[in-house]
Amino acid sequence: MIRQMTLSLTLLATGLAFASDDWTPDIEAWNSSAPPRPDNLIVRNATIWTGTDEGILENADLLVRRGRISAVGQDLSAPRGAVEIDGEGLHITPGIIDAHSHAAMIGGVNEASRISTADVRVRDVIDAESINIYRQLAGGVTTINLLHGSANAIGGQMSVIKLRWGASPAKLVFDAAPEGIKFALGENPKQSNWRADEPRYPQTRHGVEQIIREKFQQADDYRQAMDNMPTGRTARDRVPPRPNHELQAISEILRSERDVHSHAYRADEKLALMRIAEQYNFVIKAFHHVLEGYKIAPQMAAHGVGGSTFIDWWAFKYEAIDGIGFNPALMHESGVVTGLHSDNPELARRMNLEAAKAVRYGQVDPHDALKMITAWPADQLGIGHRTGRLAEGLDADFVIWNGHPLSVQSRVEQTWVDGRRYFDRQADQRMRERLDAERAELIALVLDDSDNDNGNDNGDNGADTSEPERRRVHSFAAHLTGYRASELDHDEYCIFHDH
Amino acid sequence: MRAIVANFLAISLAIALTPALASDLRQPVPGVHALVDVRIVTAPGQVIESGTVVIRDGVIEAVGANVQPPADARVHEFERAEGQDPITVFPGLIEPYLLFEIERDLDEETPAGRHELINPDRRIHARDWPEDKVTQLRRAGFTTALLAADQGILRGHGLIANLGEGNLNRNLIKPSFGQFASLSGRAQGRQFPNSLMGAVALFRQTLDDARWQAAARTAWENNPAQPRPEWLEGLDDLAPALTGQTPLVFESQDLLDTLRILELISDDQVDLTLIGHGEEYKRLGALEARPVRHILPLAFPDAPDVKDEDDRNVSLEALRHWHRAPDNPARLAEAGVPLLLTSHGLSQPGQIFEQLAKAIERGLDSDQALAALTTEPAAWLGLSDRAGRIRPGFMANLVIVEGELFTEGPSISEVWVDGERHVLAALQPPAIDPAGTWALTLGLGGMGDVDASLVLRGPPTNMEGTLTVMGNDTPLSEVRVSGERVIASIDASRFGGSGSISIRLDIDGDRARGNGSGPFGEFTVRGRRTGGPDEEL
Repeated sequence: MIRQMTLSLTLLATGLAFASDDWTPDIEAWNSSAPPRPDNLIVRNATIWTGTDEGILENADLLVRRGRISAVGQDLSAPRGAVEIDGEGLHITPGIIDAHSHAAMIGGVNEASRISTADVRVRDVIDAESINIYRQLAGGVTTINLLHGSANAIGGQMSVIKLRWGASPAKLVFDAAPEGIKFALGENPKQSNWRADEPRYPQTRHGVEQIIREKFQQADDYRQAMDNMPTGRTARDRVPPRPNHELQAISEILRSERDVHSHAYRADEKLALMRIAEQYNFVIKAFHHVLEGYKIAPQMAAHGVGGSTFIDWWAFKYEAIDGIGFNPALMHESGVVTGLHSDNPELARRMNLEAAKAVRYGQVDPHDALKMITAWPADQLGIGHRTGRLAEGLDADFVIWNGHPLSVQSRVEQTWVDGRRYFDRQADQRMRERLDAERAELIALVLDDSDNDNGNDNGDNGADTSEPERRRVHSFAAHLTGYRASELDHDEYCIFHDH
Repeated sequence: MRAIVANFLAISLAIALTPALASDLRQPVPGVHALVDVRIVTAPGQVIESGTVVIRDGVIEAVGANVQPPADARVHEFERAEGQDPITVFPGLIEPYLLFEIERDLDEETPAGRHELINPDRRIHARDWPEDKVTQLRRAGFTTALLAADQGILRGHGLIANLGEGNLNRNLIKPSFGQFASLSGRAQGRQFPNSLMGAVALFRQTLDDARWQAAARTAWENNPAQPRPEWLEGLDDLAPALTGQTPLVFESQDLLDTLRILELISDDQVDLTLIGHGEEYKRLGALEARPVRHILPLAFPDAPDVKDEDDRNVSLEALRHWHRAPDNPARLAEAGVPLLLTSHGLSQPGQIFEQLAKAIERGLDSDQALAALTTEPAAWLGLSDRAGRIRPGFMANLVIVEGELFTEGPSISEVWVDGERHVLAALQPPAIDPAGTWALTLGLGGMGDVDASLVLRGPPTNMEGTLTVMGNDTPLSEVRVSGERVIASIDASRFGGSGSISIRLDIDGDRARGNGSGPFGEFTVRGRRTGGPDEEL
């Protein structure tokens, strides 16, 4: 209680209208306004986990100016009128970055048809209304990488979003993030666990390797044809090559204009993909899941590929049999940029505990363990120059914890994105009270309405309520609450199979 | 009057037989009519309190307070008793989105090299004429519609037709209007696309292919000394929509789909029209910034079931939407979004009136609502010089209503299409007062008899009532007294069917005898009055 009171924002009497204390989110994104952004903000006397070489600073201050961090250090002076937060006893960390998520996509997570769906864009199906965004803010997550599923050797284009609850899909997109694409190796693209009704080439790991080479060659030819197309006056009356969005996206990989994030479990297939990349003179940005990363960590470090992994999820299928809890520690020790991801909207709410497990398995330094969910996934996504650390010039994406961030007893008090307080435990409490009242009011209206309607309460309003036929609904998520039906209409998550 | 009805039946019969007899005998069918002493709403906000409409051979010849019926016209008079609402003539309503399924095999229709969900060259043919839907719409007062086929991502050309009897040949107005699209199309099983993002990718690639084809073909026409580009059959049909010569009519599935489509179609050249989803009010800012024309359905949700306090499994989201959905049309209008209204999404087109009444109660201007069903769609369809108003030279498309049109259950008595009269209810002034409680027996043929109780309340000119069958109280959606007959209808969805159940009872003192029909078939009705109007209370 005392802590809650010390946490409340102190408004300095300078006439600055900062209505942050009244701002309340809503449980529906469209109805939730952006929280105000104070011009200047200072958090004082907190324990600050910088995610940089500065390490963990005790009794330190964090100064934010117009959404960007302007200083981190001790005894900082804030401009007059700055909003001040007393950080006594609190821990500040960078906002958590989840490099592997499907938490805010609608209409299917996987275009599970062709072996290459490089023309498909997650950007088109960002679900700005997904309650996952708000719930993950409550777990300290500020940026997530929305990835296409893993049924395809070359999957769809990914989309990195900031969790600006309430914003439209276009405004969620993190514009600083480089373009990226999902690849997948192993059982999923080769259809190991699919029904045998519609077999598709390839059916083996070497087939997957081969189809990727084939697509690279096609894309290279395509790009050359595009580049050879004359421009200006000579282009007049020349038949242009037919545009091909799939090959265009793949050709961007070959020119290092699009990062590859590849789902991969086994060591051998990772080595194979790195060899292809080296042959085509580009670097794989990150392997995801990467349960056998510890077997080839030196080779990964030499190639320069990051590893984004689960800390203790394995053996959910045959190719995941060789996972070990020490994998993140071993990859990290070998010089691989290592991160921990969720691949799951529920796990994403407690990523700090995933980091804590990396301390338990392999004695990773706690600050480094925190970097596995902040600085290093940011680097894997190519956004490390903007977020994932607390340093001058970076976006003010940070989390205020009521205790040590790697403790099971700690919780998030506030989550700030772009210098706006998108999650605040007190505002959340206000929201709950407001929603309860609104709900009671609406129920009274329904009852009143049906009383006026001759007791005819279940009358048909004429809306055609026949539901569109849904192809398949995964049972593993059906019991969860808070998911709209459309969110459950997805296909191939990276780790789940029900067929 | 009875003679007139009989006469009308004979004429109708003659019309029906005309094609068969055409080569042998010429049938003189009188095509000149005068509707006299009626209230006329010639256009939204323009009313002639008492006047005459003259129709000659399917076209309106004259309208006005002082118009004299021509000597060769059949004069239609509407007897009114004291206290009865006036008979009002409205312009026939225009349905801007009559979506229907074409029963054709997409596989066979798709040329090689093209995706089966991409059918921009599809046209609606006479054999596709959706007669059932046409009849339903006409009964709800619609006389003209834009027809579109509902399968696929790019769905082809629409077609404008009147909603008269007979086939497309008789009713066609424009053989081609608009190009229809939706991102809801999916391939079967493991075929591409089986996700929304796949559907978007297919759509985007197709548009670029069409643009490429136009450029590539032009280049080759001008310069044959180069390899001839491959030809993608059907994509040339996208050109009118891509260059703004005809609208691209995009059916939006939901809130996010609207934002998606607005991003996808950012080309100013394209004349984008959206079929709405009813949740536009939720992110109205996007539409204020880009007020794209909307064809708006009025399928407001039913009230959530909250009766059982201990088992209220209803989300705040659902409660809110139930409460706010009827605001949607007014909110869109305020935001400056050009609006057309559609019965699309309702299980019966006639239900549009109940929904419209709600929308009007929540602030939608009733003249604007009428415009959104008459003059606005007429303008959009390029029919401003022939449809949407009652004006000389316009098609004789009329709705004749007892009282007002925009009430929960308007009493539409006649619908005229191209000067042809369709009588929905031949109304005579009430000759009896059937108020009271009636004990009825419904004879369901092989299924035996069922007892029912009918309560009728109010004066014969403005009655309401309730039918109780097997303990289930059901309000009558409509009840009228015409001569010695009671005509009532009930929403069949209350009994698990679609459409409505209608009952006709001939009253002789305290005895009633008649029949009924509904989605489950025909039945007989007989019974007697067991209590007067006062005893019922």
